[in-house]
Amino acid sequence: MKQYRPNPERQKRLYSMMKSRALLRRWQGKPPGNSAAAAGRKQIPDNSEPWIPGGVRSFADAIWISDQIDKDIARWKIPTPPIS
Amino acid sequence: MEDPHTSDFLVRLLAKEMRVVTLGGIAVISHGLSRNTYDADIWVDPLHSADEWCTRLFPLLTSMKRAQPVMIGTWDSLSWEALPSVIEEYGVFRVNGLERPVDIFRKPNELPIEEFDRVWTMGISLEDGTRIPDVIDLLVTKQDTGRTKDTQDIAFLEAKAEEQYLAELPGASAEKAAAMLSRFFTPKVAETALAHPEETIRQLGQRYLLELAADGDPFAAEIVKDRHLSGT
Repeated sequence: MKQYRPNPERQKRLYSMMKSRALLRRWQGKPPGNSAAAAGRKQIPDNSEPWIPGGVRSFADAIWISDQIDKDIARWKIPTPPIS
Repeated sequence: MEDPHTSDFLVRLLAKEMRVVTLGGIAVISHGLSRNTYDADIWVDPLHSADEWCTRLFPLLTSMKRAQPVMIGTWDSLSWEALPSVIEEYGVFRVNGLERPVDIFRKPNELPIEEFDRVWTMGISLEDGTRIPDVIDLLVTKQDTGRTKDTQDIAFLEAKAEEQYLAELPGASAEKAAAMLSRFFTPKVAETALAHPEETIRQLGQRYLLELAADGDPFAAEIVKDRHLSGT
């Protein structure tokens, strides 16, 4: 059985991005972590809802979610600007 | 009336006769990631040989009049008769002609045929008789593919597995904790193992942290440095 461990190159990219974000927040004078929480306010709760309450129950459910996302992408995508 | 020219119809047809594990995008969506997928990947019980596998699949697949087998990658049409040799060599073929392509694996990426029984047993049962691999087996199929499109899946699955491990590892017996760590760990998981009541698990956590750090993982290196860990 193969053991899964994170890829070091990917970890380096994630670490670099994490450090960059922290540095940018410092430059912007923002506290580390969530700004609302740091200011003693409540953090905005997660407002996402599952596609299917209770999760996927069948192969067909997973296909249905994929199809809904395809439709949403087609509906909301920004039109390609005309080439002048 | 039900449309018989769909991937769902095909998968349910197969699942009535053989054990079917979903893989790829469908399995990742089933685990909770919101994303779309162009095709559907399934791992059908590899049985004892490619010939036996094809013999079991033929009557099911050929009963679907629009199903057309093609080679993965080249997308050249295949005759059903040519399938056993293709399966022997590549371990997978694609079925076109349905509402979406279905890639049918006998041997998927990174999961040996011999592990089908274990993957099936550890998998999550769905109502249609198929199973999805547990989160770590699915992660293993995404390991070392080199495909950019797998990055999002890996991030989601790693986070999900890590969350489970961080919740379960501290209270796990030494035997269970060792078994868990033999399958999966991250720097955070290994750090959590450092606080396990059993010395053997604490040592394992330290060893894994040192290995990750030596491989260049900066998160692990930071933990090693902060905790003054060493291999001696």
